[in-house]
Amino acid sequence: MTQPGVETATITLAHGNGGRLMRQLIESVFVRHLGNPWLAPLADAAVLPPATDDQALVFTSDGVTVQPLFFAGGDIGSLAVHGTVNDLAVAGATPRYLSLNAFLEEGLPLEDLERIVESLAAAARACDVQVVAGDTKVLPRGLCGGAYFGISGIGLRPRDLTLGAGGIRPGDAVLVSGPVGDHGIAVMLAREEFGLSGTLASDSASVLPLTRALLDLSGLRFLRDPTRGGLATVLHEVIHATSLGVTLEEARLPIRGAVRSACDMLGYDPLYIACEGRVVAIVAEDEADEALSRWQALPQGRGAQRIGALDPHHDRLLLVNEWGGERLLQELEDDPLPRIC
Amino acid sequence: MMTPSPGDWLSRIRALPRPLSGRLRIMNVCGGHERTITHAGLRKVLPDYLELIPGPGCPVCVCPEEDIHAAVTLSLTHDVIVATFGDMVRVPCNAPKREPRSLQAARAIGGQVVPVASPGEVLALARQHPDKRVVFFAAGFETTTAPLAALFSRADLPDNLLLLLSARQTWPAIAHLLKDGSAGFDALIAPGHVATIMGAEQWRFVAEAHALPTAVAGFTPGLILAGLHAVLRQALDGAARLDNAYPQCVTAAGNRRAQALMGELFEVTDAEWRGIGPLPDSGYGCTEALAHRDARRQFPEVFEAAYARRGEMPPGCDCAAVVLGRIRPPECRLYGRACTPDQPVGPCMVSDEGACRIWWASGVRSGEDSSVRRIATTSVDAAPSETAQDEKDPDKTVPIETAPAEPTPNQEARRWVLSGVVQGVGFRPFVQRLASRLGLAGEVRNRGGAVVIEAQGSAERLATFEHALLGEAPRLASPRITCRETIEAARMPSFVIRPSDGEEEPAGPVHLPLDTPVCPACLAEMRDPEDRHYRYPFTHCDQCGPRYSVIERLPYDRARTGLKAFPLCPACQTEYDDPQSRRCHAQSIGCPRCGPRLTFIEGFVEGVAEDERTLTEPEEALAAAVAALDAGRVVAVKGVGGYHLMVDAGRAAAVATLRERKHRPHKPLAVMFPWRGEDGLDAVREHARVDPAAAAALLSDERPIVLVPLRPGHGLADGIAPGLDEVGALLPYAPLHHLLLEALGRPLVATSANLAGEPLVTDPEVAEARLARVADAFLHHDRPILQGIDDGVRRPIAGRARPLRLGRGGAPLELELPDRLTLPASQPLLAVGAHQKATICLAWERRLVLSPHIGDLSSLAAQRAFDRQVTTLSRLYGVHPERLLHDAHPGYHGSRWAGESGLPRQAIVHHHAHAAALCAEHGRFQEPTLVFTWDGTGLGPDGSLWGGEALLGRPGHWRHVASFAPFALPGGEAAIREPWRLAVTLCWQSGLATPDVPASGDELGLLRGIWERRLNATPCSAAGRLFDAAAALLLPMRRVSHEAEAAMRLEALANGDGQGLELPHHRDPDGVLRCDWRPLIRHLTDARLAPSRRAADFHATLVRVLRHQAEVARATSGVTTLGLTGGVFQNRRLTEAAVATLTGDGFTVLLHERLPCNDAAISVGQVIEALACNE
Repeated sequence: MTQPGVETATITLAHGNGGRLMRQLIESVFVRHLGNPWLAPLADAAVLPPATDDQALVFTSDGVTVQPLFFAGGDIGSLAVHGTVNDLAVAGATPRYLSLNAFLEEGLPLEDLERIVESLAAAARACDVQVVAGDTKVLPRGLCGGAYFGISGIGLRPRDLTLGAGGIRPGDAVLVSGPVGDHGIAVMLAREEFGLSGTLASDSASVLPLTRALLDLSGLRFLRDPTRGGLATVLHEVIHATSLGVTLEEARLPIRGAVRSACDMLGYDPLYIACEGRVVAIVAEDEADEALSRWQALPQGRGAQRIGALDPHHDRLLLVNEWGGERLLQELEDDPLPRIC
Repeated sequence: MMTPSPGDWLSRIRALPRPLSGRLRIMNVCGGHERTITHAGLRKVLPDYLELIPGPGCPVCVCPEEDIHAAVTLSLTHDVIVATFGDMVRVPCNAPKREPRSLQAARAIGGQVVPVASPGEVLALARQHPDKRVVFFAAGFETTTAPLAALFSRADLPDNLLLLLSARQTWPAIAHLLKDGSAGFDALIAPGHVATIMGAEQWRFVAEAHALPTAVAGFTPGLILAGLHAVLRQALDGAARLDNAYPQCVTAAGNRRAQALMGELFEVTDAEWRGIGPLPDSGYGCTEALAHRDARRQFPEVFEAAYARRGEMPPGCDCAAVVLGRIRPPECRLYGRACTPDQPVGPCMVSDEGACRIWWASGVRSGEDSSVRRIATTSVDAAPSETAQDEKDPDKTVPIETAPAEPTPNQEARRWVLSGVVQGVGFRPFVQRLASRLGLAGEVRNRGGAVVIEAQGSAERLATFEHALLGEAPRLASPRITCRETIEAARMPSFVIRPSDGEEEPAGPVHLPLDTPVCPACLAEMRDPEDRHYRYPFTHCDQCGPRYSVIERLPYDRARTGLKAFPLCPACQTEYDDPQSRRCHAQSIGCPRCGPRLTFIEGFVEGVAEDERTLTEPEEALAAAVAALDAGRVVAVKGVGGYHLMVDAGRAAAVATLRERKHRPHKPLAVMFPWRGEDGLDAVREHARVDPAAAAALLSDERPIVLVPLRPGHGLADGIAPGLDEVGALLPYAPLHHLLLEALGRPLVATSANLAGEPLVTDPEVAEARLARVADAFLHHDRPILQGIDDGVRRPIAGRARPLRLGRGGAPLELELPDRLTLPASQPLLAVGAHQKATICLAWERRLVLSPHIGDLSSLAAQRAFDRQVTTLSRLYGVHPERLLHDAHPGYHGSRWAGESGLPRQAIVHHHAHAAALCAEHGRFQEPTLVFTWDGTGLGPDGSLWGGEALLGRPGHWRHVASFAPFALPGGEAAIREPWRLAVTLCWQSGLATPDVPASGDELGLLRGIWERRLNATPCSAAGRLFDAAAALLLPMRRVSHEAEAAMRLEALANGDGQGLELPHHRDPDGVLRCDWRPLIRHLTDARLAPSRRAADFHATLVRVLRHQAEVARATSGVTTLGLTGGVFQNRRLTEAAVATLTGDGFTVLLHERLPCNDAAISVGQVIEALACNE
């Protein structure tokens, strides 16, 4: 099936040569789905309205290289938007504008590209952000796994908002907005074509409602979306920044049964597996219950849990089980090698 | 009652190494010993470095000829009957041809001679012949003299009974030999029967004044072997002492009643010894009380004539040299020629206790007999080293007890600094006693880790003193003189112990004393209702008690130990100050008035205040703990190095409760048995088989947990060691343990008090917090544990109880580097070992110190224990590392820790460290060795997981020559925790169908996907993982709860010898010989064979793999020495079969002796490897 105005069924190197084919591709695929007042002129740069005095600009950049391009619960398009939006959201910002750099592999079916961009556009609409600038490159076959995206985002946040590890205090509570590890395991199962992915879907989603729900809490210290390296890696960053330890209660960790058993077989620990729609919040102890109930009232936060606390008695990430047994969670290795002798 | 058989003792002796001196010449001084040794053929079966020398042990042989002349004359006197022991009748003397040369010959010409077997017969004889005088001619040692005293003390003796006393004491003959400087022996087994009368203490001078290993031994082959074992141990320890290896009959003081009787009737005199001459104080004469019955006084003219013939020996007779052990019997020119039992010339060929007669009776006809050659080198001429040393060191033979008390005018003063193990072992009081005995003035004090002595007296006396400092040092000490200087003589009226020098950092070489089990003397006091230490659970002296666990810092004085909070009461202070006391300057002493105390506390009960749950009266506390244990409850008991969780080992439900609460479903639990029977082991033997190696280990100062095979029908709960046929047994070592187990009278589980995977709990508050859900109650005491330390673990493998874990009493283990690997003083190293079974090793100059077992560093608590251990070793030894060594695995805690330390560091390949540790233990730094390093996993230099590797070379220079064909470890650690996964994938890789394993279809599907795509599936060649897979194929097993569980259960399952498969090998592109294990997996799935048979076949097959790879290495490189190391060789079945097979093939096989073969040795290996690789 051929798209209107595009003469081949797959991406060719000619789509990246700056000529007619390229213009046709941009207009018929990208602009058709993403079009907006700032993008329409297709100039080299987008001119944006000024920020107000009480708002700060927040700027982020991300690259998306997921394999496979489509997986249960999402695809590379929605993931590209969510990744960037979420980075802005956990900085306390409201995302406004995105740029999109598409690196397309020669041979990518146009049909797939169409699906991806469609999904990307839907995600952007849902987050109320506009793609205002972009670029397209075509790479020779074998170079980029179908498609890579580079996405930058601009958001606005109140000037006086202070979020960050510097505000964290001993005793602060650690909250997570929902089950961890879904995205990483869903993608891995899809990539390896285990055919078992039916029960598992990526959690890829915007966390904007979750972050907005907490921004007015004076005890909110820190927000982060646990993507690559998972929950454990985020908490290790906190430990490094604060020199405090984090003690987690194993029984309170939200992990889906399907994720747990898949991890068990693969020999992975779900606490190190990427999420794409979760937030870790660190909140003053006295506001932790309020934060938790606000989250649990949202559809995205139904599975939220208060999972632990900042612990001045050590400087590690410690998991305590129901009977008091302790397990240390190390920083992720390049390759987790067995240590059992 | 079970006692070790002679065979047991023999294996124990064979299991000990050859002493450094190369050989050990052991003298016996008892005809009974010599008869047993010869008749039982002990010389033929003992290791060839043990030489057994018959010494002056035959009273008949040393009976002087003049006494025989006199007896002959008396027998020919008209109204005299001579009664004597049978063998004396035939002893010849040198007399003119016309005269009778023996009592037998006298009888032939009408002499009245009656052989008797006992003193009682003599009494009957005298009553039968009231018209005659009956002279009892009695030659003998103290064993004969005592019954004589009993006889002659009787009130109803007929007047016609007289005594010709020719009694001798044994010890002066040995003193003579030693004084003479021509002793020609290195150790002594002292006569057991003499010692029953006179006490073992009589022989202490041999050990203490002459530094020769000494043991009192009984008379059966087993008892003699026990004595030989004891002296060999002493020689190996380098510490001569007096051991009582015949405790069944012999006490320290002997039979005081018999001694008193002897003292009334007889007095010690100088005496003639046949062929030797007079020895001072070596015989007995009759006192005035017995003058009317003394033949010497009643027949003065007979004895005058006889004494004139003193010293006349039959020409050519060398009995005197035989008696003194200077020649062997066949070396006498008359032996077997002129002198035979039928026609004896000398007494040694007559008496049943004479060496010549004994040798002849056992068939020795000439010097060419093999058993003769065995002692051929025992003559003085053949002992050049001993002679040479004596020439250099004339003081050696100066008997200390004869030193004059008053100082000579030519005073000199000297200062010595002694290092080695000299603190916490009663060394300073010993020095003071020694100096006082020698009449020296001066002082002794601790300085840093050393002892400084200043003494003044005559040069000769100072030399004696110096010699005895080393030779007579207390049992637990091992002193070395590091400095000796002459100092200005000063006014020093006496010899005193001074307080330690200052608070400075330990200076000089520090050696830490180790925790030692309560000694028999303290135990006896604890059981004595009259003693002030009666039932006191913390009684100790300078020979026993906590050391390492209570040291805060050196010098080792009470103020720098955990006992500083317990000031001594006046009674203890008196003992502390008394140089004659065992508690003189012993730091861990105490009594109920001043020492640590017990407290019992019930676990938390809702609504009951803490003080209502607490018992602080020690006897009540102890009784409450006993009652709790008796009721099957779990009690956390504070011991020496930490808490134990204790529970009745015979009660299945109680054991199950403990397991459930501790979250330890399968790992075996140690069991402490009551001390019962003459050697303390009877209770263990009721439940388990205890071989000599295990017995020796159980009783050693380390008092470790020893894995012993359970007897069928044993009375322990099955939950003690599920699926295994062994139990980890240990004996009580703290006085508190003795009290608890005596009260209960049955074995108790005594497992380290911790939560699974965490280190031992040592602090009462932590115990109550961490163990609140595990223990029902707590028995605390208030002696702080400054260094927590686990019980050690040993397993008898190939004749030796080999360490699996170094703990209390065995660590810190101090080792010495060879010359070539010495470190610069400024460059101390710290090796941080492996991750599980972690240890650390501190190295500086020529020294290595290996820490106790730290544990699995996955928990925060264990990582803290690791940090503490680093600090402790640095502080106690005063050494601060400048460079770190760690495993090449980046995820080990030690590797991360080293990375964060900021110090220079070096990564050492895991299996290189294994091989280097083994070679270091055997001193092999140059010669090529083929080392099989088989374990669970360790990161290889190629990024794969090693563990079945054969390395050829030397420390620092290894070549990877053989291994197993690599296989995937699907899911990494998950495949180790759930061995069924590996069982399944190895089957797939062997072209087999999916085996029957406890897994769902979904799981198998996922596993298939992981395996096919090699997801998180590092290649692995570890033998330990093959054990996992085999166990999972043969046993229903889904998840293991501790790392060696699968292998241990597989070993326990194996039954019968097993048939080994010859597995194919191929060379990989790098030239490494790889074993193809697939036929073995196929064999394991052959359901026609019983699982126990297949398990045995598995072991036998691995032995053939070792054999094949060794043969190939020998063929290509000529290597003939090989070593077995790595955790896999904790497997007794595999290791013993491998040693037997490979030794049979002509290889020399090295196993670990002092270091565990598992990852506990890695830290030592890291040091060796790092030093040797620069060579």
